[in-house]
Amino acid sequence: MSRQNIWIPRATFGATAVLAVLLGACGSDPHPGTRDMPSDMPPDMPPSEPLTSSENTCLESPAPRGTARSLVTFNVVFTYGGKPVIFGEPFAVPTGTLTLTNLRFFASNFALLTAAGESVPVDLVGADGVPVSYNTQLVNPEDPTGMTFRVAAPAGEYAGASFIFGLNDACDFQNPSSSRPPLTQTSQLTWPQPFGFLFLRYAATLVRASGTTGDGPPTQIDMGGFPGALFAPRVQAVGGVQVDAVASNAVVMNMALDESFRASEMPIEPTPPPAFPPPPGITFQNGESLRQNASKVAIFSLTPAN
Amino acid sequence: MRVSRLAVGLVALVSGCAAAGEPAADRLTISIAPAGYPAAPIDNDALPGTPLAEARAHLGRRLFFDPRLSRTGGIACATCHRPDHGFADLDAVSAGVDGRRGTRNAPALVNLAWTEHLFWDGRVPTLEQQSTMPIENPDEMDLPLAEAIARVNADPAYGRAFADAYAGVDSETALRRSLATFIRSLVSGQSPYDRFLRGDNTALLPGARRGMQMFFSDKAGCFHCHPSGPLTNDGFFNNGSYVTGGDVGRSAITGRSGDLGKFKVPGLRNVAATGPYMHDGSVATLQDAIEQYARGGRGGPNTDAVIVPLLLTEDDKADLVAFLRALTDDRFLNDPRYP
Repeated sequence: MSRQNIWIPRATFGATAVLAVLLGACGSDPHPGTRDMPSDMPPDMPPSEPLTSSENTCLESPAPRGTARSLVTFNVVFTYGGKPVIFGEPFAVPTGTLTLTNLRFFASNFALLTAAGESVPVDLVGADGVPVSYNTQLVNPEDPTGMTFRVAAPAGEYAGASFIFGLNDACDFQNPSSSRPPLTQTSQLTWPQPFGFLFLRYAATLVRASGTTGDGPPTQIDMGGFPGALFAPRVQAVGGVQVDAVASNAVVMNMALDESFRASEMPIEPTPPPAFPPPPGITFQNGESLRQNASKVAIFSLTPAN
Repeated sequence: MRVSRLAVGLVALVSGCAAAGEPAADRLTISIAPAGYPAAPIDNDALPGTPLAEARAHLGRRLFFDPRLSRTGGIACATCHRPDHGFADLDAVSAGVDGRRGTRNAPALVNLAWTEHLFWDGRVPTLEQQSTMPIENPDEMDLPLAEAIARVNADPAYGRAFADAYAGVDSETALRRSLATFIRSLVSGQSPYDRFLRGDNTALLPGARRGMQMFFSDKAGCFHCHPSGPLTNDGFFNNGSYVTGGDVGRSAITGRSGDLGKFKVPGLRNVAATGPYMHDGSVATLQDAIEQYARGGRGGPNTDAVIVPLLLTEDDKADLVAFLRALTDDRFLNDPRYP
């Protein structure tokens, strides 16, 4: 048996195959990508399209862009209903209480957005200002440092940020056994194949309140793609970012869980079927739906740091 | 693959550097990373394979097998971490001094050079911090560290060994580092699965091959926590072993209710030799472990979302067990360097 025989398509690809069959004759949102986009945001790269070659790189030690750069610290906060939630502690949802037990994702290929709609690529850097490996951040509340990251950007005023909610395609091809963190097995975002990663892994415990009916929020989402075929979405985070050349700069990046859940339950566009037997399951459908729809809703936003 | 080549290159560079006085066959720290692992981490100021690292690892081995590090003089680290059982114990929970029992199963000490969390609840991040905690634990060796150091210092043979391995380093640091260096040297990477990963297509028998395919499939879903290569993601999950009122695991460390019943995901090299299983040793055999997962755990609260009843046939279960048995590294279990 060759290694190919134990290759399994990642969640979303397999689910897509099922859904391509199931939904092939079904209608979908006639105006995808327009319904929920913030009106003040410039258009950006749509999901599921390959990046330009200059963006689609995955270097262990990337070179910095330019020299006139100031550090901006992003502190990630999970929210639900507009209020912060604490990882690992219960919070109220319409059907009861939800407790996050795992929520981690890759964020890469950052850019800041000007009010005029210009996208300014920036480096993800460490505290020392040196670009981090693969220009990729693993957002991970279980790591004391995993909810803070920094970018090095030209001074100026910006209207928001943009990033790949996952990995670019070049990084999706990386072998976790021969890569540096965060592209390793300990990211908990690998899948059983020689290369390829999940983009997001989410798990939660839902304790239903008595008397509630209907589906609660999802309790598991695995969002992935397929190297060379199905790509991570590029998403935007609306909100002002002031980058001062001298003073320290910080901003809060909110991740709205309710919007993430909504995106994970929106219609899915059929995609070409793979040549693999697909795994079934709502987990994968949620992941593929999130992948396809993350850029259509306002999952991320920026607010000033206190 | 660049990192792996670096590891091979490192081994080549240091292959002639056995510690002074140590026969080449007794080298401890020269090893290549098992298949699917990153290159071996560098051990602080002593490169694996160098005479200094060898001296420290040999000292650590002597300490590991020395019962004088317990209050009664009858319990060594190796009493509960038995080399022929993958440095795990046959008892569900080990017997410490005066027959005292703790609450958790002695974990296998293998390939820990790659881990970032020690103990079932991950309470410490380094082997240097971990290595002396069982010495002081009242249910294990029950010896104050100062007394352990005094006993070691009273032995002239130890004195010479410490002088060779650590110039100007305080005794406590030297003790910690020696034990840590030895434990870090316990590398197992010669199982049939390792050979398969290195390209030997004859290494796995048909049942084990089918079991591997099942292991990495969504039908069984083992890979969610035990990814290919290391077979651990080094994370913490409630795998369905927790029951209400039981050991709360990671939650006691983080204070988060969402961590209730979470325990560290162990690597699975030599798992057939390290039973009983789970954090409390409550699962006797590999077959029982498969059955527990097939049932979707024990039904306790906060069980992870991936732990659900599985549609496994009896053949599927047998194949999974066959695969788990193919993770046995007989050379490691019978290694004469670990008496």
